[in-house]
Amino acid sequence: MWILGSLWVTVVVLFLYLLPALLLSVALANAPVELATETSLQEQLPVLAPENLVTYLLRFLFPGLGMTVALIFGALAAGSEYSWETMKVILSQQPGRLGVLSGKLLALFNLLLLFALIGFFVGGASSLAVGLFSGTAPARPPAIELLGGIGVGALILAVWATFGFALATLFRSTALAVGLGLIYSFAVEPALSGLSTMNESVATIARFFPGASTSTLSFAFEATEDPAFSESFLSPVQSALVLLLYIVAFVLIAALVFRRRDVT
Amino acid sequence: MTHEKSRTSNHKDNPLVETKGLTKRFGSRITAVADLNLTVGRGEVYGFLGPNGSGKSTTLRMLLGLIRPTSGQVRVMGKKPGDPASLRKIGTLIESPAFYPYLSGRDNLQALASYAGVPPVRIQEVLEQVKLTRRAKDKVKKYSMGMKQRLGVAAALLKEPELLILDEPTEGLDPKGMADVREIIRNLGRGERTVLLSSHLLGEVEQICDRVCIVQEGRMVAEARVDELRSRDEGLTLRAEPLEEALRVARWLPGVEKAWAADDGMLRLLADPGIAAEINGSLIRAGVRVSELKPVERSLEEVFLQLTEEREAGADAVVENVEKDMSARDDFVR
Repeated sequence: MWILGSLWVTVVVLFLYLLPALLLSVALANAPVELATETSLQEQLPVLAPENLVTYLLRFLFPGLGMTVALIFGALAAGSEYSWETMKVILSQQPGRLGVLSGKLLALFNLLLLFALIGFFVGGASSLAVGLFSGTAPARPPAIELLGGIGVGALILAVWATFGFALATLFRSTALAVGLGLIYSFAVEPALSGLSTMNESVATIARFFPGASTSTLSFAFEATEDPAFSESFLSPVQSALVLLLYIVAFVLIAALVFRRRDVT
Repeated sequence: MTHEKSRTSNHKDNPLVETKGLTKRFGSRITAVADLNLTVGRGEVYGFLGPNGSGKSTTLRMLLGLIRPTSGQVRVMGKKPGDPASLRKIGTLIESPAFYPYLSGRDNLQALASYAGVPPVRIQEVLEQVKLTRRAKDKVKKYSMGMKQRLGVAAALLKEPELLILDEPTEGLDPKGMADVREIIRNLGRGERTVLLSSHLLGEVEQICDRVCIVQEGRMVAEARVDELRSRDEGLTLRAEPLEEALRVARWLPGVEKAWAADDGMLRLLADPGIAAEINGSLIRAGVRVSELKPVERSLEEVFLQLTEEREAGADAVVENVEKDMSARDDFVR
């Protein structure tokens, strides 16, 4: 957990804020004098500004690294007990199988919410630091947007974590669950989405894939007037509902398998 | 030390563990447990013996609700296996002890205590009981096998269980570790606690168990009190001179099914020990000098090996007969 937590914070601070800001500073330092003095860092790279915190993190943190970290967390939460053989010990204590499963999921969801909050807190602090460094007056994002962003971020994390959790329960293995989850999210679904350009019915189904809904939600707080976008994807509300249904489905699969299966 | 035997009498009236026709199949080919009928009475120390792969661990897992039986009935403390009300009173160590490697021994027990609703004060008590207090703060991944096993026993004792199920608690231990765990189990068996012990260490089982059950290939081969099992069907052993004459006379005596000279210079008679006096008289009348005559008592290990080998031989004979039948059928077809 500490490794993934450190990675999470490092990516936000280093790759999403510090490196882009440094690269731009270097570029501005080497630019013609009038451009370098007349434009601030945030005018050149407005996405780094605190007021764009929600859209920036939802687009660049949660869909890629976020879903991978969540998938690993979910797989670890269910699969580690099998690799350490501690499942037999836990189930020989008092709580029943569904009690153990509920406890694990509750702890997992709490952890994901904490990660979403940490992501926004560290991202907010980093964007503020960049703003102060560039000498512009930082503006806070609207509270509603911030809360919505945290909620959407947590929802994205939750769907991929429950996916990892269900896979690890099915295969009783952390490594296999992570591997299959990554193959699905980075190879299978993109390939199927690619096919959807050639076939209308595949395109209709592809809109309901978890990856497609995650992508839609990652743009939930951005205004888009591109008609092709609205044709290809569900609305943010629909996507949120689809992701909630996936969470329910993954939890049900895990519960059904875990409740009936022998612990050998 | 021989364990108190009087408490074995009530095992059928007051069973804490009871199985009827318990069967577990994995797929269509493997039958791990077949038609097993066990009864463990309250306060009993019950040994569960069998070679590797005989279905012992599968049976114990079924008692805890970890594995679902294919057929048959199981009641543990009057409840279905895995019922939280009965699990509250059961302590277990199933096969190798399993713990979170990145946590200390104490923290592992803390996690289990919170699962089981046990007050934290018990943790120190069980750590002292298994003599692990000094290393309790070390991470489990740094523990030796013996320490893990002791921690496993501590975890099993955490709930102050009425029923203790221990599966191979001395597996993988060095002689010192074995002696430590053996001593702990011996002390546990002295109280009112019911212990169901699966072990390969037959000498140990012989010393601390009231009754034993021997299983092979998932089937019960024998179930009896240890002393009954050791003297079952074994007849008499006698020292006599001249030995050849004693053997010749003994073979003709009524009630003696079989007589033979053993490697230790003694004569073995397959006969009811109750007719020892008649046999003695007949031998003396025939001019044989008898200096020693006593019922044969074998070790539990000898009984175990005999019973399991008999069953294997029986299975081989069945296979042989089937092969003969098939060969005859093939000849007939030709």
